[in-house]
Amino acid sequence: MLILIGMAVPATRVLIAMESTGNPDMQIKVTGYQWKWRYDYLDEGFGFFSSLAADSNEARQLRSGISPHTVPNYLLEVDEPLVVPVGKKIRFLTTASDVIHSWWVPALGWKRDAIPGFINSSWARIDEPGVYRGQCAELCGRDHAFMPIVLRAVEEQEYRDWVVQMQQKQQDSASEANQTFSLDELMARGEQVYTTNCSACHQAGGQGIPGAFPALAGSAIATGALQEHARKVLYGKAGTAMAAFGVQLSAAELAAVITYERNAWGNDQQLAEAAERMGQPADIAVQLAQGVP
Amino acid sequence: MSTTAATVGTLADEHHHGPQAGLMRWLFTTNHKDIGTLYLLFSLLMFLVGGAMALVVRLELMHPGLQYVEPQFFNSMTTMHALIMIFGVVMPGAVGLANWMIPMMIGAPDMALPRLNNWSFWILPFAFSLLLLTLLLPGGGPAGGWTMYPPLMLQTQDAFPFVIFAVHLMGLSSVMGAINIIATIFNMRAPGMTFMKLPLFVWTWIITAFLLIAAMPVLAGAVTMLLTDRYFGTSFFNAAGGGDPVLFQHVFWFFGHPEVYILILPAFGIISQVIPTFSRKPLFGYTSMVYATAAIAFLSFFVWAHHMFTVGMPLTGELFFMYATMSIAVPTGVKIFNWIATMWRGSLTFETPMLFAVAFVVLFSIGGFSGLMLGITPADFQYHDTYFVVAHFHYVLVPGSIFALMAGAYLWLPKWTGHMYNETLGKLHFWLSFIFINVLFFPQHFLGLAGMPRRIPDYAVRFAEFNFISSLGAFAFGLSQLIFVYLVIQCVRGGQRATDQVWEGAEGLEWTLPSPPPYHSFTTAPVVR
Repeated sequence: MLILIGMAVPATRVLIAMESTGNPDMQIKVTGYQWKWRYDYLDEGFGFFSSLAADSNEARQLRSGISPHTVPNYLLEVDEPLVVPVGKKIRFLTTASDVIHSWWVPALGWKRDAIPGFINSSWARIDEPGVYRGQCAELCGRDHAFMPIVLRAVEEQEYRDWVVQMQQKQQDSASEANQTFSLDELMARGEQVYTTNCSACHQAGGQGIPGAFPALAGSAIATGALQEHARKVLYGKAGTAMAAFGVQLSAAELAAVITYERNAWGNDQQLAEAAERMGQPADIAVQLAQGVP
Repeated sequence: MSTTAATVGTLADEHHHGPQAGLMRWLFTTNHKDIGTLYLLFSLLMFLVGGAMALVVRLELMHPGLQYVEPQFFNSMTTMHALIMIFGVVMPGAVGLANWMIPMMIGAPDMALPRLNNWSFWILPFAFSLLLLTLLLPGGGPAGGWTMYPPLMLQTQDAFPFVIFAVHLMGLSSVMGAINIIATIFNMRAPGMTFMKLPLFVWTWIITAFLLIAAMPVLAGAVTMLLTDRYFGTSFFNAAGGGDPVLFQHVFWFFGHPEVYILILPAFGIISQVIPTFSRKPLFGYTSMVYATAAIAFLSFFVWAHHMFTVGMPLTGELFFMYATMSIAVPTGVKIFNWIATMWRGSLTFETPMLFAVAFVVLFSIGGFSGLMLGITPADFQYHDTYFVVAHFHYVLVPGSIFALMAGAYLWLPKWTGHMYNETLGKLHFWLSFIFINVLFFPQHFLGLAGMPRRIPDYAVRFAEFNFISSLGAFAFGLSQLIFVYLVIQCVRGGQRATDQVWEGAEGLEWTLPSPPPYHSFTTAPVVR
């Protein structure tokens, strides 16, 4: 009994400190998606997705033949890490867009569930600059193991430079929405977007996984009307793992990936009209502006 | 507890009440021993099925990278493994022992409600066929974890309604079994068998049965809400419709925590029979054991949220559930103390049941301590949903519940069959199980502390070594269980004849009956002084 009380007192003290999320120096909104994270810098007005790095993604496919030992930071590397300044109290606001995830960087000493429709807050102050790695900790479906977290803590000045860079990137991507791209440009970009966002379920060869995830190669949607195809990608399919990518990707990325799906794996041979082969960012923007059909 | 010599002299008149011949005997049986046997065989079969699924999981986790199965299939293996081991192995195993032993321990001819008894067993094969067949459906089996958290569970494809229905059937079976056990113990005790003279196995089953009746309908409610969310447009767990996904977790764990004690209390009862038998001493602190069991059961309804500390509860809620969880260590400590005190200065011998019981006390305590670590909220923020949790609950369930079921099987096999089992094989089974269960689960503590999340089919290379050791342990442990299967078959078919008392230190009404006991245990009630 005395031992238990001896454990309860410090535990209470630590818990109260951990739950004191008031007066932060900055706030980052963390949103879980199947299967990647989005980080929004609420005070700086920009945000981005952070997905499993391409080399890990390639090696982790079933019987890929690539030894995980040859991949640096296998399954613990992302394409775009979260960058934070050292010595600042950061409030993390966690939520999710589809199912429950859990944001966990072991070095911070806590994890917090990301729950669709609700926002949880937690805080951290990182004193040592460095790279901290973590993973999703709540079962969130097929690729639960493949949505790592990489947090880079840097000095204040480096952080400021990075913020400016990210804000610039955000503007560039917004201006892309008005450009017109060639088929080759869209295909090249689309393949990248497809690998990061779609290949987990629909597979690199577009064959899907019979019974679980439909094939795109030769599918009625990918070889049917462009607008119908775009509708599926933009708004997803309710009750399945098919997310609404309209809110996740930029108009240019959407146009690229849709074009890629319509031209890869011989799908272009089955399209009735050449005009149906590709979409442009502007078309996507129009369709998005019309709202949910 | 002292008993008179049982009145079994009229056995000769009994043969025309014997079992029917052939398959019909098992289909239509209302006999507590036949139904007990069915439950135990079903439990053993499911143990092999669920174990095979665990080996698929450990095979994939042996090396980093995906070598054998798709992640979705991996998830359905972990989900099914849990559902089968909990609802198909530990619960039916404990009910099987209850069916066999409770009437004999309290001096009754049979269970109070024999037809209900038949029905509660025969639901199970249907429930589990339904569950297992979902693996063949488009989209595969359930893959959202046995905890079935929405919204993920709602993404399950065609398997969804079948899983829900299977869970309903399992719940129905357990509740009927529980009603039967309560009715039997309350109404059919022999003259003089007062409550405070009941063997502890019977006591733990009274308490377990009440837990079942209180908890299983809550699970049924939770899964029914999932069903209506999916098919009838309700939004219990959908924030967009005004619901809350976390509500499911509260309802589920309000069932789930008592369920944990449903799995372990009968095990406590078995251990409390085995240790006095092989210590040749009465159980130390009988009364305190009864009260400790009741206290654990009562407290189990106030600690559910410690399974979900990371969902973001208010500080006061987290503190309440932390303190309530820690308080369970007190009655559990009383039990461990009493078992050790029973052995203290006893004339100990270490036959197989005793070996399993002693291993239970030691290894269950490891699981208990890691549970206490998890109960400390700020520490749980780190340990939650890692392999540390996996190690914790496997330590309380495998060397806990499963070892206790094994101890019970070895203790009572000679009584059931009339033959002694092969002691050498039994000891071999024990030592292999004991060594490899630790090789299997102990490294998982380190994996969790090093940062490996649970329910993942692939992991960073830094976790490779401990996973490899754990997988080796899994295969060795799994194969060792085949010794038990062989030993049971051998024991049923023949062997050295067992005496009525079987064990030198055995006390209680069940040991006054012949081995094997007559078809209707006590046709004339024995008198207990």
